[in-house]
Amino acid sequence: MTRRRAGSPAFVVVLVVLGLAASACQGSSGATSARDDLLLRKPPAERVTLQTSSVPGLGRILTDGVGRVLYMFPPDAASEVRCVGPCAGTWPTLTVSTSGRVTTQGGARPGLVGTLHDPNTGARVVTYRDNPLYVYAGDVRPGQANGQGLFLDGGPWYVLTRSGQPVTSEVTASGGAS
Amino acid sequence: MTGASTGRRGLLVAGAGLAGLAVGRAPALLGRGQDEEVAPRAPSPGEELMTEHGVLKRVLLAYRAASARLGDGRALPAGVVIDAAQIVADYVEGFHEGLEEAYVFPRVAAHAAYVDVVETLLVQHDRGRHLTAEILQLAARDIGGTQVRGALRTRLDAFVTMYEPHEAWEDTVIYPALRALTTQATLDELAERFADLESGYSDLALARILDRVAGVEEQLGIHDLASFTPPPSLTSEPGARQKGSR
Repeated sequence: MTRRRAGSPAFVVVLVVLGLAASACQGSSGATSARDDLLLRKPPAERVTLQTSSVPGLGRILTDGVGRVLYMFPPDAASEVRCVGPCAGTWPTLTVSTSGRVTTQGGARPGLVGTLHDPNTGARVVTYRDNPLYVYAGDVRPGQANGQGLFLDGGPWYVLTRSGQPVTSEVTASGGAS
Repeated sequence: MTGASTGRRGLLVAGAGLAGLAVGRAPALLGRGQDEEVAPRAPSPGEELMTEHGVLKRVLLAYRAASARLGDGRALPAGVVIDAAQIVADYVEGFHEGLEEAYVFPRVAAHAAYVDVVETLLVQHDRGRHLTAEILQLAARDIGGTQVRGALRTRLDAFVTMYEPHEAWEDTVIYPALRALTTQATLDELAERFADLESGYSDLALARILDRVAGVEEQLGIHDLASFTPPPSLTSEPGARQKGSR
């Protein structure tokens, strides 16, 4: 079991709905199905920005344009989104529309960026060094990395360095990921 | 609809048939072609989620019983806390909460009145996952020592303390809100989707989960529902009886 100890971040109220409505509504159609899930009505973004941000306990890691921490899921090793069904509610994919653009800034490397089909939304999921990217529903504001090291939905979840390597260490005991 | 969920309905139909037999209406049911006319709809999203909460409630009872044993120095059957926590990890956190986070919370939180409560519930899901991880880690250690027993007990208690109101608020605020804020057509689609998604966890799988829960309850000596009934002495006093019989 690779879950980390719970930290004690001070969760303040700036709602998730930004993050949630913007991303958590990207579910899927079933744990074993690849058809798009139209019940989750989130329109994919036209533009997605990747950058790096400094997160206490983890150093400089990959985030989206508003600082939400991004995760990879090792079972996706074949460059395929394996997190579908209920998993996609807890770990929504970072998506961009089929005609949209992905840009980088602040340490993220453009050469590592790609997209592939997202079975949850029918849009494109943003990849970094071939890793499909996710956010975590339990990160209720930018800069939190509460999902780091959690073992959930069949595997561990890791944040990424700017070179696209997973950070497999646990957050330090101070848990200052918030 | 998957085979598994068809099977789930098959079980429900069988149950309906038995109920019909019990009230003497079996001939009418059989005469109408029960496959098309008797097959019940998939449970509503709220009904499905509350059934899953029932599993959680029973695990919370087990956590409370385990905590009591830890507190008064009694022995705990080997592995019982791990078994209980693994049910939480597999079924509650890995499935039930994912359904909520995928299909329920975004719809409800789209309305300003529910933004804060949804955020709290999301934070609690996260805290619960970390508590479960810690419970699993602690329970895997030698729980003979006072320090480990105390740490484990603290986390079991914290989990119970958080999840009792958590699920009560979901049952009484969030699920009714989903129903009120969602069209019947979408609710029907969600019901079908939940039934599909439960194909890996559906009634047969739920039966397996309940078997695991029952195993935990048996080890902790809380498997007999009747044991929770208060003794007659508490209800036989004239005053108490009068109050209860109005």
